Amino acid sequence: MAQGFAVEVRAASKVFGSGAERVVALDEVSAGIQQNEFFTLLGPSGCGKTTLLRLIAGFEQPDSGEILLDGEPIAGLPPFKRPVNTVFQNYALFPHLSVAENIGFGLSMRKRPKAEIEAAVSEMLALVRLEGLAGRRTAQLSGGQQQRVALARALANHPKVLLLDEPLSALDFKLRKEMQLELKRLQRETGITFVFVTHDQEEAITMSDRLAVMSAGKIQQVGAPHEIYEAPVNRFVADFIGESNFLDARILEAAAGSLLCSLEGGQQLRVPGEGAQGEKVTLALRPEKIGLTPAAREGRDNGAFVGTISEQIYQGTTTAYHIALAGGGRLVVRDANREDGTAAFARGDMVAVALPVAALRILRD
Amino acid sequence: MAALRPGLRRFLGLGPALAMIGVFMLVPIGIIAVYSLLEADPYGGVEPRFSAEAYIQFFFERDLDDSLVFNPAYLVIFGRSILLAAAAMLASLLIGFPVAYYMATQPAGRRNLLVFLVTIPFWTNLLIRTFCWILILRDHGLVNNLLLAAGIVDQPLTLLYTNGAILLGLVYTYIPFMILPIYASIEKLDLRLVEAAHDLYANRRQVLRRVILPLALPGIVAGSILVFIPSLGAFIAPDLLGGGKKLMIGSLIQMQFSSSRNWPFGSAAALVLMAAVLAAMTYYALGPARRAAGEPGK
Repeated sequence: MAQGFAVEVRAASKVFGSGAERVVALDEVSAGIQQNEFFTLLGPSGCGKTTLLRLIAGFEQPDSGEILLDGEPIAGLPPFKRPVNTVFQNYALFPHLSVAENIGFGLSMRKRPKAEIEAAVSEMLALVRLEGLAGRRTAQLSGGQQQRVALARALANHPKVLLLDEPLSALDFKLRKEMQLELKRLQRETGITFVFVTHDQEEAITMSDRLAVMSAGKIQQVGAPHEIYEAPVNRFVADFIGESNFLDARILEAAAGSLLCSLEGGQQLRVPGEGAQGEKVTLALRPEKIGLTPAAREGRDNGAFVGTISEQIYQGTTTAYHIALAGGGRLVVRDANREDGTAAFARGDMVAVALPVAALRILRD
Repeated sequence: MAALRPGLRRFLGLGPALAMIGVFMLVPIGIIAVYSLLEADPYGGVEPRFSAEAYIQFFFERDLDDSLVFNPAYLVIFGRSILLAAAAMLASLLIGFPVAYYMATQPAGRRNLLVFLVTIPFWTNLLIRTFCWILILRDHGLVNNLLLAAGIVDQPLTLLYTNGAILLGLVYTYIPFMILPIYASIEKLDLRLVEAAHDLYANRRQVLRRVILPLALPGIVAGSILVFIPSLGAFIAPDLLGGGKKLMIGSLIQMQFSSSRNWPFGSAAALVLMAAVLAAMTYYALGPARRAAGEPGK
C-alpha cells in the first residue's frame, strides 16, 4: 500500500487493575489497517478487541506503544480531537434530542453553519434510508432504526475511520443479516475505513476485507477471510473460525516436501509439508472437505479410512455426521444431502472416509 | 361483592389516597380559609363573625377617617421572601449540582456513603443547627475570631442579622433537597452518552451543556422546587440569623399565631402565599405546552 495505513497500532499494551485483579487486555499488539478497507477485529469476549477499538477512539490510553492515524501519532489526543467516530454497541443515542439533532450533533459541536448541518442531516437520512423520521425522538424508533441513526450520526462527520463496536449484536437474526449488507453498502459508498468489532465469526467472514483474529490480548492472525479460513496459523484460529477436525499425529518419516504421519488410531497418512522426524503435530481438516462413500470393504484405500456413523445431524442443505474411525479417533464430516433433501447416510452405516491430503493443515501448537 | 358497580369499586380503591388528601390537606386548608374570613379574638383564636378585615389589612392601611390607603409594607416582606428564596434556590443549585455530579460519578460503594453523609444533618434538630450558625457568625464568633487573629480585619465584621446570614441559613438547611434529586437524575444517566458526545467532538464544557444538563433537568427542576418553596415559608433561619429585623413571610405568619394573636391575618397571609406559589408553579408546569404551541412545526 503506497498511501500508507489508515490506522497503525505499534506494540500497544493495556493493563487494567492491579495485584490479583490485574488483567492484561492488550499485550504488545501491532496491526496496520489499510485505507478504505473493511477491517474486523474478531475474538471471544475478553480477548481485547473492544479495548483496541477504545484505544483508537481515544477513550482509553495505551500503557505503552503507539497509535498512528494516517501516519500521525494520536495517543495524546482526547476523543473529541480525533477524526474518528464510533458506533456504540447500545447505540448511545441522545434521548433528549430528535433524530435530526442526533445526526447533526457532531457538526454542531464543531460549530458548522446551520445550512451545512441541515444539508448533511438530510444527506445522511437518505443514506441510511430514514427519510421522514427527522423529527422523531429516538425512543420512538425500532432497534434497526436506532442502529441506522447511530450510523448516520457517526458518518455525518465524514470520519477518516469509522469504529463499530459490536453494532449488530442487539438485533435479531433477520435484521442482523439485513444490516450486514447495509454496512457493506455504506462502506463501499462512503469509501471510509471501517474497523468493526465482533465475536461472531460468520459476521466477520462475510463482511470483512481483512480480519484480525484475537485471543488473550494478542492478535493471532491477520488476513483475508478465505486466507484465515483455509490457512489458519494455529489451533485457536482453526477452532474459532468455522469448524475443524483436529487429529493428533506424529511424523514418522520426513522427506522433501512430504511427511508420513501416524495418527492416534495407528492409521498412517502421507501429507505434503515440512517437518522433522518424531515431531508431534496437529492435523486440521474442515468437515466439508472430507468425502464419504459407502464402505465396500474393510481397510484403507488411497487415503480412505473406514468408520461407523455414530451421530447424524440434519442441517438443511447438508448433514453433519459424527464418525467413529475403525482404528480409533473421531471425525465430523459435513456432506451435501441428496436432491430430494434426505441424508445420504444413516446412523450405524459403515462408511469409507476420504481425507483430501491437500486440504490438511499442519498446526504446531 | 360481585354486585358492586365498577364506579363504586374504583372509588373504594381510591379511598385511602382520597382520605389522606382530605384529612391532611383539604381539611387544614379549609380551616385556614375559614379562619381568614373571621374576626380576630384579641386573646388568640377567632370570633365567629364574618370579616374580610384580614385581607384588607394585607394590602391597605386604615387612615384616621377610616379611608383605605394602599400599604406596601407586607408586600415588601413578600417580595423580600421571594428574592431570598430565589437566591437560596440559585445558590443551592450552583453548589449542589457539582456536588451531585461528583457523587454520581463515584464507584457504587462510595456513592452510598456520600448519600448517607448528605442526609446526616437531618439527624440533629434544625433549631440547634441554626443556633450553631449564630456561634459561627456573631461578632466574636468563629469566623470573626479567625479573621481578627489572622490580622485580616481589625474590627469584627457584621455577619449575623443580615440578609446574607438568612441566605446562608436557608442554603444550609435546604441544600440536601437540591443535591438528592439531581444526584438521582445524574446517576441514572448513561455515562456512555458522555463518551458518545466526546466522540462527536464535544469538549468537556459542551458535554456538560448539551448532554448532562438537559438530561439532569428533571432533577434540577425537582430540587429547585424543593428548595424554593420551603425557603419561602421558612421562619427559623430568618428569625435566628436575621434577628427578626428582616421579616420574611414565614416569620410574619408565625408571629400572627404567637405574639400578635391575629389568627385571621396569619391565615390570610398563608393563603396569599399559597396562591402565589400555586400560580407560579402552574405557569411553570404549563411552560412546555406553551412553548410547543408557540413553535408550530417542531
